[in-house]
Order: sequence, then C-alpha cells, then structure tokens
Amino acid sequence: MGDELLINKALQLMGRWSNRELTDNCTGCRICEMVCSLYHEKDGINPKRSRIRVVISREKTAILPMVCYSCIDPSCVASCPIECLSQDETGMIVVDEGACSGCGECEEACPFGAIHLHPVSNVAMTCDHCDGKFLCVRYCPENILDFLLPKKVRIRR
Amino acid sequence: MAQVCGWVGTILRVNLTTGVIAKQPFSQELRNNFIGGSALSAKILYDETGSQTDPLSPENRFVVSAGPLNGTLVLGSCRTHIMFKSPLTNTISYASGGGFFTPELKYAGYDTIIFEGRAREPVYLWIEDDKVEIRDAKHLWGKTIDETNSLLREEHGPDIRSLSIGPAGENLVKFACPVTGDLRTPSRGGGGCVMGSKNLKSIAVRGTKSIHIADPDKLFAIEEEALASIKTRAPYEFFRKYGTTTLRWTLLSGGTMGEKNSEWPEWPTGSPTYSKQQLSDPFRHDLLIENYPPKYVSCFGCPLHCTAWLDFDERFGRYACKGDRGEGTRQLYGWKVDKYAPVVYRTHLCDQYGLDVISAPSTISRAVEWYQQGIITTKDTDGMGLSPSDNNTWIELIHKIAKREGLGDILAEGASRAAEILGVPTETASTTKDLLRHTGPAARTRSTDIELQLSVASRGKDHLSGSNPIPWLGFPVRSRWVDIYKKLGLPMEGPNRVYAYHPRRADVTIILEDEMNMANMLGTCTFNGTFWCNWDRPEGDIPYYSAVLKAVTGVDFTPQQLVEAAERYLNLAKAYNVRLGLGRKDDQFDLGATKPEGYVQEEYDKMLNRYYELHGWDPETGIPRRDTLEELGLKYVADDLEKHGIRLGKRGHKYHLNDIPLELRGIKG
Repeated sequence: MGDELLINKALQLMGRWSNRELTDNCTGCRICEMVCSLYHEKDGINPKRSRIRVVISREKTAILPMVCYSCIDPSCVASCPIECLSQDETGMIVVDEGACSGCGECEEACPFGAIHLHPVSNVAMTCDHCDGKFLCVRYCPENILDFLLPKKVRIRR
Repeated sequence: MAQVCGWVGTILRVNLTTGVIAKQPFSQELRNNFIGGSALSAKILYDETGSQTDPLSPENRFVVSAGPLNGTLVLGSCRTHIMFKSPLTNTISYASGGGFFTPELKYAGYDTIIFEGRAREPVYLWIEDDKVEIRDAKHLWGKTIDETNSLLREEHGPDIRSLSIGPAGENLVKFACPVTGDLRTPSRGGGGCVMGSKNLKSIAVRGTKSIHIADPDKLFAIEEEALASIKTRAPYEFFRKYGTTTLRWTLLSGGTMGEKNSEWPEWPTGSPTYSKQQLSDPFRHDLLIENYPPKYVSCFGCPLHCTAWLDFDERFGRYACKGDRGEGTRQLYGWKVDKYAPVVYRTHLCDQYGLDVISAPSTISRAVEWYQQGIITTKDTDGMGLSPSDNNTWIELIHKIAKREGLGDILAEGASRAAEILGVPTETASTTKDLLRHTGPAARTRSTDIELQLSVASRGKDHLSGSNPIPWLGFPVRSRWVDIYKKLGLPMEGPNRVYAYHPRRADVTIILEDEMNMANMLGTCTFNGTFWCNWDRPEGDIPYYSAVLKAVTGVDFTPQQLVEAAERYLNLAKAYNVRLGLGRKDDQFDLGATKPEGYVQEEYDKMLNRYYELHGWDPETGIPRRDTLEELGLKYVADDLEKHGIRLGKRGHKYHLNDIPLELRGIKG
C-alpha cells in the first residue's frame, strides 16, 4: 500500500508544480535508489528499501524523484502521535527508531511521500544524508539532485 | 554456510500442465560453471529438449533467466534473457530485452524460471517473494500489453513488474514476443509464440527481499569509476541525445544501409550520392530531436536513456519506444516514407500486440515487394493494394498479422513459409536459420565481417552476437577495434564496399562473441560495453566483468574463466543445432539468386574454417570436437552427440584460449 500512497502523492504534486521544471532530466534509472538501499541496508540492494523513490507516470509524462525536502514546520513531525520524530539544524528529520511504533501517520502526512515505513522492520525511514555522503547526489548520472543547506532554500508547504 | 551474493540462489520450475511449482536450489557447481542467463538456459534447453520437440508443444521449455549482476548497481544491469526452441526457425533461440522485469524477479528471490507443459486455459504466474501462484488469466486474454498491465496493477498494486504477451502471442504468430510492463521487448525468435502455445499470458512479480552484495564498498568504487569513465567515451553524449535514431546516419556512413526490402544499395558509399542522402534524409537524427523532443527514459540502472516518450498529434498519441527510434526508420529506407509519426505508431502497434519490431515490418516488406513485382496480387492481399510509401499498408498488415486475418494469417508464419504458401519462387529458399531477415535474399553487403558474423550465430542471422560494430557503423572508428584490426593484420573494408577477405576476421568475430555473450550470462546490457558506448575502453569488457563479479558475488572469476564460460555457452548452443542436423550449409550467407560482385566462396570458406578451428570445432563440419567439449567440462554433451550418431572428428584437437592473443581481450598473460 505504501507505494500506492506514494504514487498518489506524486500525482498530486505534479498538479501543483510544473513537473517539467523539477524533473525534466530524471530518466528513472533508479541508480539513486540502489545506492541508497545498498548504503543503508545490511542485507543488500532493493530499491524499495531506499529513502529516495522515483515515481513514474507515462500518462503525465513525468518522472519525479521524491525525497525529503526538509520542510520548515514539517508535517511528519507534527503528525507523530508519540513524538518520535524531530528535525535537526540541517533540516534533516531524525527518527527515534527504538520508539517508532510503525503507525504510518507520518507517511500519510508527508505531502512529498518522502517518509515511509521500512517493508520489513516497519520503522519510519527517511533521508538521513547518509552520514554526509549524499550518495544519490554523487551517483546520479544526470546530475539532477543536489542537497541545498537550509540557508539556501527551504520549502514552505 | 557463506551467504550467496549476487545470485539469489533459487530456480523456479513451473509445470503448466500439472500446476506443480518447484523451487530448486541454484547449486554452486552450476553457478560457477554456467554463471546464469544464457549459459544456464542453454544447458536447460540442451538437456530437456531436442529434435523431437515441437516448439509449440508442451514439451518445449520457456526459460526466463537473470544473471548474478541483474538488479545490482552495475551499469545496465537490467536485461531479461529468454530462451526456447524457436517456432520460427526450429533451432535454439534466445532474446534479450531491457526494462525493469528481471531485477524484480531477483528481489523476489529467483534467478531463473523454467516453464514446461501447457495450461488448459489462459493463466498467468504471480510471484510475490515466496508466494508463487498460477492464476486464471481469462480476463487478460485478448488484451493489449498496456491493457494487461493495467488490469494486473489493479489486482496486485502499481509497483509490480511484468512480462506479458499480447494478442499476437495468443494467436501463435511465429515472431510474437513478450513485452515488459515498461514496453521493452526480448523480441527475436518468437518467444511470445511459445508463451502463447503454453496459454501463459503473463508473469507478474513483486519482490521485497534484497540481493546480497559481497563487497559493497568495492562495488560503489567500481561503479563510480565506471560512470565517470563512460562519460568520457566518444559515443556517450551523442548516443544519449539521439539514441538509436542515429542508426540511419551511421549506417549510411558505414555504407551498410539497406534500402527498401533491405537490399543494400549498389551505389558506393563515400560518394556524393551518400552525402546527399544523409543530409536530405527526413529522418536525420538531429531533425527528429528538434521536431519531436523526447522525454528520455532509462532502463534499470542505466545512464544511457536510449528510450524515449514521444508526443504526436491526437491521431498518433504518446508512445514509448526505443526500437523505432532507429530500427523502424532504418527498415523503411528507400521506400519514400517521410513522416515520423506513422512509423512510431507502427512500433507502438508491434509493442501492444507483442510483435517483433524487426521481423514484423521486414516480413511485410517482403510481401510488399512480391506485390510490386506482381508475384502476388490483390487476390492474395484481401483486395489491398500494397504500396510501400502508404502508411496504411504497413499499419493494416500489422493488425492482420497480429490477428491472423487474411494475408496476415500467412505472413504470421514468417517470411519463408509465407513465400512457400503463396508460391513465391526461389529467392525465398532459405536455410533453417533464417531468423534475421534484416538482410533480404540478395544482400550485397560486400563486407566479409558482416557476412561471417551474421551467418554463424546459433539463433540465425544475429546482429547481437559477434557483430563487429565497425563495418555496420562508420562513425567514428573506435580506437580499440582499430588496434585489434592492426594487430591481426586485417584491412578495414568500409565505407567503399570492396570485399577484403581474410581468415583472421574469424578472430574478431570470436572476440566479440565471447564478450557479448558474457553480457547475456551476467544480465547486463551490451550498450554499456565495447559494443557501443564503451567502445574505446582499451582493455575491452572482460577485465571489468571479472572485477565487478568479484565485488558482487565474492567469487573470483578470472578473465580466462569468463571466456571459457562464454565458450561453454557457444558450444551448448552449437551442439543443440548440430543435434538437430544443422551443419556447415547453415552457416552460409544468404546470397539469393545472384552472388554479389566480388563474392568468392573459397575465401568465405577459409574464414569459416578458421572460425570453426578457433572454437575447437571440426573445421570441415563445424561440429564441436570431443576434446573441446571435455576441456570445457561438457563431456556429457560429447557422449550425447555421439549417441545421436554424430561424429565428432579427430581426437587430439581442442579449444585453446590462447589461439587468439590474450592481449586483444585485455587479458594479461
């Protein structure tokens, strides 16, 4: 169900933003998903276990990489019933994994589909900057990803 | 026990007659000797089918296979490999396509699926990790590829991957093919027809497990370097921008552009006529990009995005295509077709029906020629006038072939049988291996490279096995290959096509055969290799494959072992055909009624002899020698061939890896 939710959010997003500006060059190769899952997962590679997810709609001629946008006043943090999400000074969302109950409220609340439950552990996961390596940015063959620090841009939802 | 990395360790065997599904371990011995993909599939085909097997019977096997690199970070690790006995050629056959299907199969936990038997009614296979079910597909039967995928997604979720046949496969069109959910096709040879004969509509899969990687840090490093270095190669930006729309330009430069029914033009390349043709070509790649800006789309894990979504007007809609960006326009050269949208629409129809986008138009092309020559008339064509520059001719005939209506029912049998049925005389007399009717019956390539490479491939005239890019594509010549030609003492033939026979062209063919077939075992796309975008990688592909296999699987396959694994595959495929009764006569180039000027049979024979000799096969018959088979660990194949009354030639001669200088393969001594 997680992916259906993701696709619905992506489609809503496409309605709000001009998708060509955002995604003109993403070709959906999913190399970002692979480096993300390989880095984080002890088990190995599966793009479904990645924190960045590429959503594709042939009907809307759009390919969107969806990842945490470090919102000001993030919905996910506000939605967590047990307050196990917080945001640090770089804008990164921090998950208290031990406390997370897997309720999925954050997944529903995020307008970008950027936080979701791990398919096995059921714990919330989102972009954690991979220890400052930003691997998706580094490996994207199209160079369409970039990490912008808070003082450059923060998105108001 | 150490964790299996790269591979996922399970072979799925599905008997559609009994409904029994078995999971078999993919043993270490099999993995180390056959690796996966094409080589494993060839062994299964050899062991389980043969001359008695009717390709449309329940006894035929349909094998869908991944390699250890599928679904990993390796560039282009997207390929789906299918193998079967072909209903079109009655030989062993395979096809390979891109997209996203095979990685998902591995995430579900399977390296290979073997289908046998026949379901009583239409079914599809649903795989979700450990759950594997044969399900009713009556509601999918008759549907196009997009319709089928829509229904499958409704049932199972939007993130599934699938490999399905369309109406063409259901109607047993001999060159029908399966199509992935993202519209990529392993299209040659009639794999879709085999699926249709089993009442197998689709394979749908979701995988949530992971592929274990032996050395993630090493893999990260190798692929970062691979990405950086491919970007420095000459074809990279050009190919990414224009994709295979460049085919016409480059074939014209190389003097190998077939005209009309793939007759090669008689006018010499390099002449002002060629330059004029190139500049005024309505399908020139830069004009196409300008007039029809593509939305670039990649296959899994690949930076080349050689596929595109294209937008046309209301009548022709929005399409995804790769094959047609080049292939469709190539096949229409000379027919005075100058509108792109209907050409793309034609490919779209092939994709939706599940028809081979090379064989379908080229079969239609033959019919058009027969009609133009008056050999067939409107009596044979259901009253249709067949005019090559009329879009309706092409589009109508695709509909008819897919539905097996009227003339379409005859053409659906493939060009050669269609000719027999229609009473078209000798030009169609074909060998069994007449798969790739790129080249028409009277091809005049005047390229000894092409003539050898196409003729010896096991599935038929295969442009993707041992196919040296230099004679096909004149632009710009690749340094690694220039070097190889120099070291072997081989003259270049293009672009002014004059035959320059040399037995050592066999060496080039085999260097390529081994490298390209390796990709089919590993699961990667040869566009990322020296076949195309990495063409001036000086050491070739093999050292890279060896390094990346070690990082992914933890197993040390030396370059020499990889070459031997590729030879194992080539020997199995050859032995399969030999066992069917094919021989030297089937490794001949298709000359038609009159030989091209400059063609010398004795010189061709010298190249063929050397080709056989270098493989460790009997130079007279092309039959693999016993010592070669035993050297490669295929003693049982030697025994089996002899049991079938096939003589394996003199003892004391076998395959030697060093017969072709190792340095040409990037292998150090």
